[in-house]
Amino acid sequence: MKLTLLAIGLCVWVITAPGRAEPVSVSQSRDSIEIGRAIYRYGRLPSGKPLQGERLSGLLVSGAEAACVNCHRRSGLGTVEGYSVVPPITGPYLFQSKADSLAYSDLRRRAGFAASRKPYTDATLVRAIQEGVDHAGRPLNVLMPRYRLSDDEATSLVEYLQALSVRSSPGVTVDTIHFATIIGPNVDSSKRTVMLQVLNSYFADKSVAPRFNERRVMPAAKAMLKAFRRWQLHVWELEGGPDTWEAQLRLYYQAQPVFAVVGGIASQTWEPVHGFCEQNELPCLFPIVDIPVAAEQDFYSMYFSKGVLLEAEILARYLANGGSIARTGRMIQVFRAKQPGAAAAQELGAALRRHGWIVEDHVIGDSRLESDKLRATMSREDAAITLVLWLGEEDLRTVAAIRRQSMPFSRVYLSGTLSGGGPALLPPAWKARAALVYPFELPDLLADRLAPLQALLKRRGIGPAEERIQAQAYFAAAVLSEGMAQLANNYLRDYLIERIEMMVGRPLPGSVYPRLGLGQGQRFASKGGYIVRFASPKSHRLVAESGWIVP
Amino acid sequence: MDWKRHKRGHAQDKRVAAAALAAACFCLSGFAQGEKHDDDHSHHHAGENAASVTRLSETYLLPEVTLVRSDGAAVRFPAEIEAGGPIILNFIYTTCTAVCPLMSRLFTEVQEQLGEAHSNVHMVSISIDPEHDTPAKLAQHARKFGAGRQWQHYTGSTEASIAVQRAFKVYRGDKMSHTPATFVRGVPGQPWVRLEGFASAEEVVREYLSAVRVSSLRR
Repeated sequence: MKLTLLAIGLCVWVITAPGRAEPVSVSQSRDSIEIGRAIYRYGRLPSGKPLQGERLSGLLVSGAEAACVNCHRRSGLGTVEGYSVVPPITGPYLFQSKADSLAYSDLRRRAGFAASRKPYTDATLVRAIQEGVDHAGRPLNVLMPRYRLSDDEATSLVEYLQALSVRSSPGVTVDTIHFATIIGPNVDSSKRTVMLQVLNSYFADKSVAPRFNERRVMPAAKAMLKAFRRWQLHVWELEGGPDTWEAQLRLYYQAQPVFAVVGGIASQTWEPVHGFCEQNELPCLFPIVDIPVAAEQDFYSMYFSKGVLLEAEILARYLANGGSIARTGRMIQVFRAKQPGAAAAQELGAALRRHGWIVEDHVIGDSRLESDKLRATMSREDAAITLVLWLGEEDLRTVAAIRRQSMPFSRVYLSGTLSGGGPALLPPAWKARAALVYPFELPDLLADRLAPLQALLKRRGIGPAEERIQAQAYFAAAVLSEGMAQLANNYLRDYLIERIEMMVGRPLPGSVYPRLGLGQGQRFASKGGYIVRFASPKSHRLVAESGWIVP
Repeated sequence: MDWKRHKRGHAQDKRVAAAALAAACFCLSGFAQGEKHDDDHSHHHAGENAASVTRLSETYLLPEVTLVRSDGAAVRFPAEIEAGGPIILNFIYTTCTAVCPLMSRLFTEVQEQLGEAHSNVHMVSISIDPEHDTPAKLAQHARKFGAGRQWQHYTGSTEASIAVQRAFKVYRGDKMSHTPATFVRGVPGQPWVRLEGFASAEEVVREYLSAVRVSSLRR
């Protein structure tokens, strides 16, 4: 009965308000939509029991594995995998005869072109869910299970679909799409400048020639009438302690909601930004941070890599496999408290202790006492010890200055992410025993890889500086641009994330990583690194000591 | 990725697209019973249903690469495959949205249908996203699908995974473009049966039994 009423309501709605993607009736109970949401997202029935479905071939699926979200995705706009097309199942696509634009096409592949379809009614949709046949009674794709849902449960699911992704996400106005980039306090000013230069230059093109920001497949006449939106970048500068960032971000966001955050840079933690993005369902794409938040169950933040945490895993794997010249089993780690290096040290220490290593942690700071202790550590003579310095350029210089003439330990490992230009300045005695954990493309190959990008930046009036930052900022902007282009008219943040998950892994413009890949639920695009050392004690050149290590 | 490769990538994409379209058209043509052109949903129909599974008999040259099993052991791929017994093989990745979960579930079902006989077969699932699918992640995936001891998951370097994909003619340039295929072989030297599409557990078991029969006759 409820179903019939709904169906009647739907017909009225279709007749009176074509093209409007509002739910049938405002009085639809929130509870019912919540039931539908639990089925869609988690495969959970109102009874708490797992959702169950059966495929044509007789295979059974249940619970989270049976949830609609696996294939149709969080946005409901579906996906393309090989030649399997998972169609969109949001209200506008199911119930209108002509949806506004194709949702799931990838224009490079031209798969799944959605020109028009016969609309479902509530009744035929419930039948599709329960019996696996379309509006005309033909069987659906072999991937689509027939769900064991009661009429009430199926109706709740239909109500959820009607409300799913019907409105554009915030940050999009009639003529503009707003984006932000976020800059933490105390970021090195040249890095900050370089990142903003690259982003601003990319955005300048997007506001001059907005016509090319979006790809549309639609009748030419319609395309003529459509407004193409310009892009605007807002710079959100943070100050003070990380515990105050969330409030600052909230104020920025209230003043101007943005569709997504692109790039961004911080010298220490990124946790409050990650949390803010997750809480506000705001995509945060590829910030330049030494240490991301390693929470892959979260949806909205995507990172280049796990940063120094990845370095710790790579080094642990390398040392535990006996990959270094001196495999001693004793280590001293030096780092600053509460800095990214501290988290890396903790990770590496824990991993190596499990392999029977004796690991001594040495925290440095700015007090007299601390520098005396550092001196004492560095005056030790013990060729059986491996030294690991999780330090930035300046600290590295300070430590090296204590003892320039000799390196008392068998090996000194430095962080490729943190040490900046520091390693090149080390004295020859150090270089002879130094190695870097290097989660990037090898320096010799990187120059070639970045040359085209630099030529491109040069044409935009940007000379080479902080090349890694340039490449990372450019990559973030390029991924955003490609992702936005694939949205067509669907300005949905969830869909942007889903498209980028699918996209990274295909060739994309210059990056400092040998290969990048994502997938459903993957949030760290680069997953490995090298151990590199100096070609000779007097050389600046870094050469590979190991192959690509994926811990 | 550099710009030159970027361009090549596009060309490759186009080829993949052409192949995918051709494959889709092929499937649809076999099923075209009065499908209307205005219905985009045609893709969504039985073009990929069990009925459209293509069966081929092919010989593959196994590449001399090392793979890493989900228990962490590094193994030479040909030695692992040519140890002697029958093989049922597929390609998956753990963060796959639609296709692979079904392929893995299919293996679970095959394992169950084989019952006691399954201990004679080596079931092989090779990751096409090896950098993400570490041995630990594959072990977790194997547990999720109730893999028995005869069903092993493999990862390795990207190069090694691609070499194996190329050997079995399933390499599509990137993992998102992969298509479902199941491979069955009796004993080394025998050709592989390639089931392209979503085969049912019954079909796979039937192919397995027939391959085993053929190989016992040969002996």
